[in-house]
Amino acid sequence: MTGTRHRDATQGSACLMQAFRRALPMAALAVLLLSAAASPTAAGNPHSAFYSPANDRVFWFIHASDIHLGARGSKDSENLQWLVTTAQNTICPSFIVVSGDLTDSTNGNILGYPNGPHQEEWNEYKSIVDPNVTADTYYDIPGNHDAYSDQYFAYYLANSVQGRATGGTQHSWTRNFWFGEYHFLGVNTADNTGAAFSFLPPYYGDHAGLDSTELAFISSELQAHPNAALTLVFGHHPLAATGDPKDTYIYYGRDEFVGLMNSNGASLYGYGHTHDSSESFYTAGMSEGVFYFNVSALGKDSPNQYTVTAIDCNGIASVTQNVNTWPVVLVTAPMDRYLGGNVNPYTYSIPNSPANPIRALVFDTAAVNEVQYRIDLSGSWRAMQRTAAGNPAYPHLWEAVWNASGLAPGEHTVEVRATTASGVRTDTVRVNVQGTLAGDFPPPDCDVDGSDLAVLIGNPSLMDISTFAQNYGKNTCP
Amino acid sequence: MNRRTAVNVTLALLLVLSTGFVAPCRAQEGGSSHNEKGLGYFKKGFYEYAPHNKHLEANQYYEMAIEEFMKALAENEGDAAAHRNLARVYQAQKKYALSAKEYRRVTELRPGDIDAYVNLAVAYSHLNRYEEAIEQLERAKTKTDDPGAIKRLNGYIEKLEQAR
Repeated sequence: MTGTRHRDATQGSACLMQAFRRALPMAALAVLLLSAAASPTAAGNPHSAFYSPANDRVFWFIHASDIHLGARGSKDSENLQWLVTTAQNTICPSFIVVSGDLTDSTNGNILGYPNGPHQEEWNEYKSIVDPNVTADTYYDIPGNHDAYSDQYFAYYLANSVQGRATGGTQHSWTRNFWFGEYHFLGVNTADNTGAAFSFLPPYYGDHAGLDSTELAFISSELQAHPNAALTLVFGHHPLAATGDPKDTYIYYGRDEFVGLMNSNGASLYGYGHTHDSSESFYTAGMSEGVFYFNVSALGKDSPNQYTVTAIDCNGIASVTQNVNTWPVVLVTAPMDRYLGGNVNPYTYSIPNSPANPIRALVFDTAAVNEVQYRIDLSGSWRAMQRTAAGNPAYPHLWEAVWNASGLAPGEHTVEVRATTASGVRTDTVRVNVQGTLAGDFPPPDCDVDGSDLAVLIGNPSLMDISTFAQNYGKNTCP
Repeated sequence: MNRRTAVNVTLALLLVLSTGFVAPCRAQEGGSSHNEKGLGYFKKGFYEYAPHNKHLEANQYYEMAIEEFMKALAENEGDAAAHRNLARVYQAQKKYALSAKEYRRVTELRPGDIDAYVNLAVAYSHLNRYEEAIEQLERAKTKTDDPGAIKRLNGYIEKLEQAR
């Protein structure tokens, strides 16, 4: 009896110590999160998109998800091979990000029941990606299928491209150009308990979320890039319930994560998991919101899709396309007013100028015969030209100038059509044409950002372009 | 940091600390020290060696784990955790007949453990014993009222019927 009480007392003391040890990092995180929230600095500026004739501020990347290597009866390995060879060589992205479920954890069992991890799947994964990508061009983050029965993420760390390169499960990278720094973050939303898959609700073995260590990394990386023009974040799970009870989502750490994206000016949260493609605008707990982008599975179920996302003068554009279909056409400027479904607060209105720029990216394994545009889905198609050979986006970027001066103020449609040896495809954006004359724009404000450039296009006498470039991102308010 | 932020920080700290102190310690899984020791060996092989393709080393640890789980069962044959652990090691070794035997015992000892039936069906499917796999999944359907689980089990049965 005494012995039992003694053991209980020892156990109680150990319990207190354990709780204290558990509480310390959480307390530290609480301080970090609150100080981050109180900080006036923002890493990115979603409002920095601007409409400009400048055609040398464009770059793009590929977002894919849910490869599910090892899934029986799917085109998992074939599509991954295509992604890192044909797609990469044809689209020439700045990088490829794959937002989780790299492996299926079933190793081809007939039921499709994830009982892994299976090293055989990871060996196949490596055999496909290793000859074709590097850790500077391929960012693979874990999903729930990479986490079942592996609380250490041992298989992910030993076999994924980024796991091997960094020894971590979350990744932060940038792209730096003469026109600015762009920050990207891959977060690990997968369950950290190492629970096995279960098909019993509510979590199906997938208690997804972001713990204090993961949130601390996110906070620290966001704050480490205060000068980023844009911040784009990727994770495997949706932020909230999708309406399908089988779709797990971020159950813990979500509000803190959303708060960090909000206070640091994230522009996009891209995810997978649902095997559906959709886009909307996530606003819960945010001042304005993020472009909330879901890409379908690359390797399991159907349709097998991927996305090309472009940044053009800080404006985001994206197109989702079925694997191995060409051409890919993406209007990068002007920016789609309905990016995310509803009117996007980060898009710009465009002047009723006689010389408005249109730009579009066109990719195809076959020859591109012609690229054309038309306005409001009617009238004749007008030719676009490939940018000059010296342009960084050559030979993929096409451009034209259109006359908006005769248009009524309000919403109009810009449609671009590419005709290639593979076929014909169009991409369409909707824009808001302002009613004011070019010279009637209000003067630029003292917080020099993309919104001012749109003003300057309307009235270049207000500030010359070199002064603008010099002051870009700075606050010149007295 | 303004006064309001300072108050928020203090409140957050108090909340976090109090939550941490009152949180109950999680009980250790399984009652047998042999189970714990066996799990330690299994984890060593499965998480430290297998992901690096060091299968010989991994297998050495699996064998040591099996020995411990056997000892646990020698003490108490009705130890469902030991049977489940054993089934998992055999599955990692791709010894599906042995894995099936152990999962079968888990379903007898824990008839409500639906995932055990599915794991058993997976093991049977590797052995091309599709009829028995379907039979186990039909049994699993009688153990749950969850329509989503039943739908998924029916999906599994359909796949097995196509395969046989």
